[in-house]
Amino acid sequence: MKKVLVGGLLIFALLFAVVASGCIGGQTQTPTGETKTETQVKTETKVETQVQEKVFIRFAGWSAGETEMKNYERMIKEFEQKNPTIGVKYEVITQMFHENILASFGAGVAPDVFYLDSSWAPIFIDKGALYPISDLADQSFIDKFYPFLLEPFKKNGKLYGLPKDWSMLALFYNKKLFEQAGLTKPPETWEELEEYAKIIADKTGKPGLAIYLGGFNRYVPVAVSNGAPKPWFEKPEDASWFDNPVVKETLAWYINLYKKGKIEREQQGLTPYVVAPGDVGAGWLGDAFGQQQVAMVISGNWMIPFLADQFPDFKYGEDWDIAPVPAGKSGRVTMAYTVILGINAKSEHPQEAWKFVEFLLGPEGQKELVVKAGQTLPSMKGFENDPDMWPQHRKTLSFKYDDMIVFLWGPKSGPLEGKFSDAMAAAMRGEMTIDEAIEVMKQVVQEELSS
Amino acid sequence: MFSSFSFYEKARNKEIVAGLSLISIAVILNIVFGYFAMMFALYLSFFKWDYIGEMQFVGLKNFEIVIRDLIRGLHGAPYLLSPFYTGLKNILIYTAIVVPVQTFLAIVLAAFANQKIKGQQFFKVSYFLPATTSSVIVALIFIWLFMKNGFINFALAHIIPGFQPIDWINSREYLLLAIAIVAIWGTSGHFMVSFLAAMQAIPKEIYEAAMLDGAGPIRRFFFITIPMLRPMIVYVVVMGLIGALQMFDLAWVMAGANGGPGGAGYTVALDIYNEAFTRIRPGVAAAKSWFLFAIIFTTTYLFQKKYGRAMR
Amino acid sequence: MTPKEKERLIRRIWIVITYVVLLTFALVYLMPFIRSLVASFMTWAQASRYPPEWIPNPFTLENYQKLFRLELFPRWIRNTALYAGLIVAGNVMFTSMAGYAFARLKFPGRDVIFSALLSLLMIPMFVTLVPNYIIIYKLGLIDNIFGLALLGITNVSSIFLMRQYFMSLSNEIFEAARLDGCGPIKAFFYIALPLAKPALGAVAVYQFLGSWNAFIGPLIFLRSPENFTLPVGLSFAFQRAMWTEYTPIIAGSLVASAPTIILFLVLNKYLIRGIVVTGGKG
Repeated sequence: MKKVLVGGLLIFALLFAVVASGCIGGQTQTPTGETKTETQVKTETKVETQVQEKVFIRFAGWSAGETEMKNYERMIKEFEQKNPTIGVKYEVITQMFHENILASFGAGVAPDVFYLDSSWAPIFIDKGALYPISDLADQSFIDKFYPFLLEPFKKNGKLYGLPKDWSMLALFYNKKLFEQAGLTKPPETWEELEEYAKIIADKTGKPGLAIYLGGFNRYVPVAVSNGAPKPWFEKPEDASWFDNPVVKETLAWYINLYKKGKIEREQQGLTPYVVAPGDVGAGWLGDAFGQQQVAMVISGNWMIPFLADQFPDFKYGEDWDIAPVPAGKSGRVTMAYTVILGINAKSEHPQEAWKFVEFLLGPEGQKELVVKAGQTLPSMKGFENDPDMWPQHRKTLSFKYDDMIVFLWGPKSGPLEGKFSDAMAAAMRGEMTIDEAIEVMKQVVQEELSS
Repeated sequence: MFSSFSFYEKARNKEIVAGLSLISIAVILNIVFGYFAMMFALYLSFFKWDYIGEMQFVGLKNFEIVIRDLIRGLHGAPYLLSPFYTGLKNILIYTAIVVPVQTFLAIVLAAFANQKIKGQQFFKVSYFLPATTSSVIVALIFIWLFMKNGFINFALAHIIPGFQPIDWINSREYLLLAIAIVAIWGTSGHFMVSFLAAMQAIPKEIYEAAMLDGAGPIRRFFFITIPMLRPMIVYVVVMGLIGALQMFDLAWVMAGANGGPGGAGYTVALDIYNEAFTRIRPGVAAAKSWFLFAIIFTTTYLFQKKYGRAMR
Repeated sequence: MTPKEKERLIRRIWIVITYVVLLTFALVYLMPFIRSLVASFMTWAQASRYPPEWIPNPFTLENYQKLFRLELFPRWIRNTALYAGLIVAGNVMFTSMAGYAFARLKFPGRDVIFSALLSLLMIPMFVTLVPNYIIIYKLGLIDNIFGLALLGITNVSSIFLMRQYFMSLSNEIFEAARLDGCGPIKAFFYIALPLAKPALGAVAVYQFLGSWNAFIGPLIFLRSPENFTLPVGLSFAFQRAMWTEYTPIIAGSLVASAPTIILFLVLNKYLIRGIVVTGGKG
């Protein structure tokens, strides 16, 4: 029996030894331990031994595939060459990114630099998780960015993050279906949007417009362009936003798009002129548009690489085009979606982290990582006429808006967006009346912000 | 008398030492990687926290929040205002459908696959195939099959006369059922493997004796196979209960984080996720986890107590 | 009709019923798999078409090519194999011991310890994320496949499975061994283990499946793309913030399920000894 026990322990010990040394299976060693760091320094800078110790910072992002990873790795290498005393460890969390960053904060092991979506930012800023960038950066550097993108990341006069890139909503329309319906130009106003959708459905037999069931953030431009204040929910009383007559009216209009355009039309035996992606067998708006199941969608710049990649035969310029988001009674408003690079307030090396952020977000970084990659828009001004920018993206940048709303409704943006959308979807499907939905949304605000 | 006593004594001691040493590795590893996390979750349930700042002791307040949610739900509040109640209600219905059906199907599949007939290999592999694909991919494929004009409605329309196509994923009535069907499809093949293994432990002689007594195949199945499989049925039911009551990924993909139309696909695990990471109330998430834990523990305990005693 | 003829007829009918049931089930279980196989040869434009189409047109290998064009793909396969290998080996070794002890040996606190272990499966992962981070970081095991494997080599569900299997073995054989003076450990190696081959096969299949498809664990604790396992790698390569390339993921998951099926076929001889359940004698 002893033998067995000893044997078992031996196996266990062996396994542990293997783990500790980590030397089997050709694992690439990633610089995590202190010892490793020092040996690297010594071999690399033999001459100036011990002059300066190499500092490692951890940088975490989600992924846009191997191409983006290689771009980042190239930039990191370049950065390390320019700053031989700083090493960067690139970490990728492909899913549930913010959840993992939060949990790593909880455990006290958060990365030094990380992506942060605008809707998650208030939580991090309010709780003091982010290092104020304005303490590290020159004002002249900050001034190079689009000012409206910085607004949500300011608190008490300090700036807590700089956007790495951004996207905005625009109207994507199918030129061929427009031609078939005898339409020569994209709709200019919200009324025209609905009217055109109807014409397309009647003439071509395809729904004119696809919208999400729910989708509070897609409705907001309708409200604000018609004169409603920007939604902001910080305390329970802010639920009164829904009492604003413009909000009530526009919300009813938006919900009725689906009720009238889909449900009632089908009851009458007609082609629906508004659908949700699922109604035409698509997973999301981009799919519905790419499959040419619908003539119009209002979506963001992320549509552009998607269409190029997944529907190569459906060509920009010939088959489809982009137009500004329709205007309301008091102007033209669109939504902006952005991701910032945040620096961990508890980072041991904020200066080095900032150097890295400055390098990634500077003109060089934006050109390589954003403009040439063609996934999103650069957050820094001055690329509007860059020849490397995809023409589709360039066109979205050329549109003039009276206001840009960054996707953010206060400290509880995430849960509020989800629950508002749910209530809206229920109303669209006719499971509750519009007034009931508004009542639920107000209750949700009070509930979420009361404690 | 004396010597035989010491013989038993010695044998018993030997058995104790042997038992403890055989479980030692498993227990040690699970203490390090399991119980620390569990104790942390217990500790957390008495605190208010946002991951970033300091923890704040709040006593039983987190549990109070859960109970208030349950009471509100019982009084018929809409699902957005009583998420835990909604999740709990759904998951109990879901479990009541999934666990019995998947267990029974798994036994039936194993019994058929265990026969010596031509093509048996092919059948076994086909039943096992669903289990080899990750549940997220499975859910994605099924979303597509469950669409209004999808294959499932198409097939049902051919089998059931006068069948009206159902919009499974977007319907309050059918979403949970659709999720349950996907779960059963994936897990029955999975658990078939356990029963196949356990069937090898049934002595052939029993079947031969039964055949001599003139017992037909169905009777042999119900009076020999099922009773002899009892310990493995306990395993499958208990693991099924644990899995079903904590179901997350299928609902996440098929219904979304908010549970789909009218919260029809909302589950307790989704609610715990939302508490922990969208409402940033990990303390409440921990409290809800302990409620769920209590439910899982009680059901599995009762089931084991009734059917799963150790042999000696 | 003589009794013999009658018996033969019943047997025939029974065989026909068996086949009908088996085939129907096979169709139901295979259908989504066939569907994804077909879709893996389609462009997304066609695979997502509505109503569904069944014949790839144009027939494309692009989805598979996309997989093999990924420089890290072979690495992910190797990482996954290493991870799965460690998990299977660990579970077969350690959980059979523990399962046997819980089922067949008497020692103080046996059932309490077992229930306590089982209760570990009942806590949702979202509330244990933070403590797991603490442990893995403190042990320096982040971004390390061996560290990740250490978390799963004594899976409680395997212990449970082994326990239940050992419980279903008949008592007599163990009693006889004991009267012959065979100690509990000896009985484990010479009697219990050889009899446990089917259950060990099941544990191996389950653990291989679980680790081969594991997503959440590797997602959280592996951080460098070159250390990823296949499921995380696929998500890394084809899931964007706003959309997902489904067809290569479907192709990838088909490629990924091949080893599991092969393992299942190989272990089949342990899972099946071919017991006569039908009327015929083989």
